[in-house]
Amino acid sequence: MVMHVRALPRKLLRDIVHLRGQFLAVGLVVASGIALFVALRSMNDFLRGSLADYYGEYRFADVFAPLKRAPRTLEPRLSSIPGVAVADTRLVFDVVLDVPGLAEPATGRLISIPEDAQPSLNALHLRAGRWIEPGARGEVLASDAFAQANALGVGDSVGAVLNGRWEWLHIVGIAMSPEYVYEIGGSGIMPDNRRFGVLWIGRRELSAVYDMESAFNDVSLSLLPGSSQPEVIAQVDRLLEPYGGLGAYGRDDQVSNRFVWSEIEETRVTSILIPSIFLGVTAFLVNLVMSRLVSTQRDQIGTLKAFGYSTREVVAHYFSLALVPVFAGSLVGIGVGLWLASQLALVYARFYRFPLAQFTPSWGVVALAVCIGGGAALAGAFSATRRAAKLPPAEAMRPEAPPRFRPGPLERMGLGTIASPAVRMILRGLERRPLKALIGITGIALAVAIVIASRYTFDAIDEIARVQFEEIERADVTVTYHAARSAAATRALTRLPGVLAAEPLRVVPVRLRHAQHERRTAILALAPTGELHRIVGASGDVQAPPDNGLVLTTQLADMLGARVGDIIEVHVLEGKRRVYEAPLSGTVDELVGTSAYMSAGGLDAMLGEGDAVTGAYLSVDPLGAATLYDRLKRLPAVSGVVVRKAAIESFDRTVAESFRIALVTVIVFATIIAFGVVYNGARTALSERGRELASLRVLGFTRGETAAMLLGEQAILTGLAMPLGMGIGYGLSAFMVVAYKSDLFRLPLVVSSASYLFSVFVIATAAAMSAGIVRRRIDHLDLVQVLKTRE
Amino acid sequence: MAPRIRKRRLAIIGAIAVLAAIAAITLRPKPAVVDVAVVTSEPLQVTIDEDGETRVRAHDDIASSTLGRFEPAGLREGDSVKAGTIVGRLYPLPLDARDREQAQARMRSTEAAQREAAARVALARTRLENDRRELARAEQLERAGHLASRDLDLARTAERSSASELEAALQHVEVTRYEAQGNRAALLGAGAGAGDSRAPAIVRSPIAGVVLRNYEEHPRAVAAGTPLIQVGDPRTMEIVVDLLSRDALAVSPGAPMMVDAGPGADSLRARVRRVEPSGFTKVSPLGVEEQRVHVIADLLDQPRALGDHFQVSTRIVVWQGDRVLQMPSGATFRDGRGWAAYAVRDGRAKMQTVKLGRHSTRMVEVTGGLSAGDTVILHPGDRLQSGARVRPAS
Repeated sequence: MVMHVRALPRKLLRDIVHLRGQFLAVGLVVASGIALFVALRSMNDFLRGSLADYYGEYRFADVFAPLKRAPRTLEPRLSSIPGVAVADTRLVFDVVLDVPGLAEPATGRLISIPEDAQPSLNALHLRAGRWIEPGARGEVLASDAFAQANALGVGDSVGAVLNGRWEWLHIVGIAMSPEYVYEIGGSGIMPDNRRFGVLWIGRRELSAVYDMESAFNDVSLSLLPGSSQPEVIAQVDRLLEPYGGLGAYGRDDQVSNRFVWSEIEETRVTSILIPSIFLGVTAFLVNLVMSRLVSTQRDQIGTLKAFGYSTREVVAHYFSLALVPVFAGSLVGIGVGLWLASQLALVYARFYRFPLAQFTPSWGVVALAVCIGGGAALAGAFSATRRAAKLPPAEAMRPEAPPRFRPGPLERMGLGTIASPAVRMILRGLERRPLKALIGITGIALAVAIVIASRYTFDAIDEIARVQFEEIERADVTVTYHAARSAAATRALTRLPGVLAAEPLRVVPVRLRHAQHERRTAILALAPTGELHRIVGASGDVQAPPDNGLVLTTQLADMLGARVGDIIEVHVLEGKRRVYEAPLSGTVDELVGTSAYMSAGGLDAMLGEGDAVTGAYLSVDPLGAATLYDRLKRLPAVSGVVVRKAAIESFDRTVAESFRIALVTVIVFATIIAFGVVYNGARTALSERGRELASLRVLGFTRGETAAMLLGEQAILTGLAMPLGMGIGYGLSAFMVVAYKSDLFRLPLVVSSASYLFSVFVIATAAAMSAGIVRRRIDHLDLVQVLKTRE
Repeated sequence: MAPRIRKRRLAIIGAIAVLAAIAAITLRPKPAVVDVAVVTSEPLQVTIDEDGETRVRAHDDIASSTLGRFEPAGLREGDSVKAGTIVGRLYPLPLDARDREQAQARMRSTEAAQREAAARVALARTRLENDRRELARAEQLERAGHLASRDLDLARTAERSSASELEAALQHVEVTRYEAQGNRAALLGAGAGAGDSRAPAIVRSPIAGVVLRNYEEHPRAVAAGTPLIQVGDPRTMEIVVDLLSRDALAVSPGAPMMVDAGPGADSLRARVRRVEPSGFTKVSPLGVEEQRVHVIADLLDQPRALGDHFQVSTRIVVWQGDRVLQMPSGATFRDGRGWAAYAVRDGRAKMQTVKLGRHSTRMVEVTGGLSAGDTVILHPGDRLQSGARVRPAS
């Protein structure tokens, strides 16, 4: 009995040593899957947790309501709205900033804060410096992201035109706000922290400059637990209506919060999608190894059973054997995953500004990862182990019945006459066990697919940038005015140095309503013959702004449940605040944002107004740009300047920064999958066909020829897996389009041929590497040893 | 053995070639879809665009000549009047000694004005005759080919301008005549002791035109000098444009101008008469102070719906050519200090250094690098490179 107890563990050890190569491959795949899972999941938990803490501690408001101007006497009425806990009013103005060291003008958002205390909502986290001094002039707190991007510190100053007057703003502190975790201004999907920044300034000073003493133009509200947000929003809207209310909205629509949450959602989707592929492959590999093991160890199983080991013990043996590489891989994966998570945390910290909590691994996630890995191993080992269990000892002692070698369908179709005997052997081998071949193909195909899907994200973002910056936005500079101006303003801009052409634009804040659906947005009115900003769909179709009716992005039309021809209610949120009806005259499937378009004439006709403009698109001579920027920085009428070139650069840089790590990681992991699958396949084939190959060698075939016979099979499998993998990769990309779809943007389904080719390259390299290793084994095949077995 | 090896080598080379071909085909960039335009030789106008205002030149504010009760004849804004049409009656109130003294002084002053007006007519007539002779000579010279058409244009403008001056002077004579009449009437009514028998002074329109403004719609007592009615001749409509002073430098009298009153209205032709010699400061729509100059132009087309002080957008032509090689300015971009454009040749984009001349709003003159019939890419994207395959959008 002593021997009985120790025999199986010893066999376990020996098997592990024997299978070390294959186990290593399996372990690596498991490690990759688990690492990704742990990294993404714990990142997800971490982001959620830190965000919730941050929002709580710094009193992030629940409802936000911008407006034109209201007296502070309205404050008690706002806070007495049922369900409102705190109402905090303030002033918010966008101004053009002259930042030292920055050629282009930047846009600054000035937000008023009490001189002597934290605001009661949306409190600031002071990272450096001090709070503003009551009574001191021009003291501001700068947002962390803006200060860092422009290398500004406490003691530096930026210039700004405040209500027509040039002023220096002195930075006395660096701060963060829960409102600007993702600091992005206006429209756009990538932050440009060099050219957009928030500055907090004393309320008394700001109100004096803008003549807004005892008035406010922005309200934040926090809600009592259990109160209804839609009800409060409706009440706030009613109250602010006469004061030019632009429509209250909840946290869900707050730009920064929306971006952060869509990121959290994405990591959640990815953390399920990608690791599940890895674990699927794991199960497949375990299945491959264990099946082969059980069939080569038939005699051992028979012997064990004959010696009186119970079926349960045998099953447990094989299961624990399967678990060995998985657990080992899981351990490595958890380590790598946690490291990766801490790296990701650094990346996130660059985009999402909040007081960074210490990253703590979530042990729940780790435990879950181990369970999932083990589950995959057991699932993979199940069928093989069951066969071992079912095997009657007597039958097991006999060698496996030799398979029938005969021409398969391909050969009978005529391939046999063309193909050499070696090729025929390969074909017969494959055709004999089509299911096994199919599983092998699928495994490699998944590896191809993962590489394609990870490259796809780049393709999609590249396409977004191309459509956005080349098709839609062609203006070198976009200028926004503080308030509506006459059309003469556009002409005045064309007279500025460096301006080649200018086209007017007008933005009117509106609330669109159709049936029960409602959406706050803005109508963008464009010059009918404009060339600098066009309405372009994802497929490159250009539309002219409609003279009659509205063109909405497909996204917005869907949200409103409206179809072309339907009448949309347009509630204008400025001026006389009238309600109009306009037909939906068309939709455009833009990738970014939810916009509504009209022609300038159409809008004027609807509003019954003369030609007012709120901004202009400029075409600029690069040689005159510097002079133009200097002029724009000091024009009193201008509240914002966006330079296209700078936007593109910032976009590219952001993409490069945020995705480089992700891409490298995924490529490494996909290579591991490909390597694991190909290597295991070849090794299994080697152990299955060792005898045949040895016999061929004895018969006089060269080493190269025998190796070609074995590796040829793998090459064919890899070759067949490529198109399948491309198909799956495309499907995965299509799935990502659906999974990542949000109000903010949509990924276009474009997979570049470079991505396909790249995946082929990666997988082919991995396959070649594993083939090289197997080839060395074949070369060192001990003929005597191999031919001796099962005699 | 040798043939087998050769066969294998061939097979390997073949396989590599096929793979390379597949890679090349898949990696070959798809032709970018681009918007294109054709370089053409067409008329080109360089214009200065600015908002302007209409102004009726020949207009007259008829004022009460005496203290009295004015009874309007019931004319409305927009009614047309002839010279001499009665616009109302003025019943003078009895004058005291001081008032009479004033009325007499006014009488004398209008008589002097009448004499001055007559002198101006004589002067204007002489100038017109002179300009007519000049024009005739210029026309002769031009026919003979000794004179630039621009100088002929100047002569024409001068002639037209003095004709207008003469007409204005003649009108002024009329105005002073009626004023004198009114003043005489006021003095009549002021006869010593003239009680109720005072006859009303009849107020007539001094010129033909339409009523632009009716200040007194109801009978009431008015003081001397109170404006009663404004009459103007809409055919004498002129356009006043405030140009930036540095833009005005490019504008000279005689420059053609296009006037757009609004959507739906036809573009009207006008001609610059005068660039005023003195500028003034105005705050631009962008909030900065700038120096502007009044530029005054005569309408050549009869305005149909245009009234006095209407806003119009104007384009002053500062240069024009009939056959100018040109392309949309959206096709050009900077190449170093010069300019370049992408020409489409054999389905490929080819960067071409170009020399540019004058700019219109949308078009730019090509003085070198491209020739008529060349296709250029509009708003080329940043990724487009010379040699890349392109497909013009339909």
